[in-house]
Amino acid sequence: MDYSKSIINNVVLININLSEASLNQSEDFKKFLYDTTEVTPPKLVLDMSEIQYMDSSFIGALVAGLKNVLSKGGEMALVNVNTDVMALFELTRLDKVFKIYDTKEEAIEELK
Amino acid sequence: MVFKSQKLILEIPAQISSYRTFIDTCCNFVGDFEPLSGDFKRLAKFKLVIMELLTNAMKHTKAISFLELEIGADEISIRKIDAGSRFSFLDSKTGKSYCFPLTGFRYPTQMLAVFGDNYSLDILIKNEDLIEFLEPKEIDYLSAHELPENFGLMVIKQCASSFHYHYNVPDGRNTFEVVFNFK
Repeated sequence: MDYSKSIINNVVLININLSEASLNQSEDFKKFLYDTTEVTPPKLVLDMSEIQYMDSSFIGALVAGLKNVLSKGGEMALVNVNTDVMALFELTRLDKVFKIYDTKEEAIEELK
Repeated sequence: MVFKSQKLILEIPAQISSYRTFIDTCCNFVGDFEPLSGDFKRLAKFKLVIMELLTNAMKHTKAISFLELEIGADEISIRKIDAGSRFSFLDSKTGKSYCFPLTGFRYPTQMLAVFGDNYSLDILIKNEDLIEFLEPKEIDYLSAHELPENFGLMVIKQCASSFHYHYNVPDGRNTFEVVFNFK
């Protein structure tokens, strides 16, 4: 499976099991985020450790997911973002918009 | 010293299952060009540009296109070439839609062009067939709800020294040209 999820301390931890996150997956991933309704209001931590390459389409899906979560009074955080992917967040200034943590434990502690 | 340029041309199919092969091929091609391959941050931007041009090809071209890389004395040029739909945009002030070849402008003219929901970028219209994408001014998202969900052109511009779109009227060919200058 490309995505898997578990609930830890009332936070949904989503593992993105993709080495390339691009246009090919962006629509499916957006739908997956929209359909993640296990916790209300939604609190999502996205583990991105497997992603080596990401394009702007996938970052667009992340933005859509964030807007959806915020509209429901929830929170969303990203963890384990590699340097190439972080460059994309910095170029789009989205590193100032997303909550980005080094570890999932840290992110879950902040969101729980 | 006479510098002999080198060129690589790759065909981009309408559907790409893996970007990695393209990225690796392009990185191998520039492997001996020290100003790029020897700089980790520049190489990351180069890879991002390749990805964004591939995404652009799949998302908008809907046809076979080509990626052309050329190493010059002090620069690397990357061109995405296709004969698909022409590039179009809206003027943010008037809401008027424009498509190439552009008419009714004095050259050069600068404009804030809109490409999609909440997605705009300054462009310089150089002539009826050529625009340059300009460095975005301070990017400040006032509200998460106003965030755009498209960033491709902005990412390419942020990575490169220059970024142009050219429409070739005689053969209906579109070219996005990205230049990394190392002077």
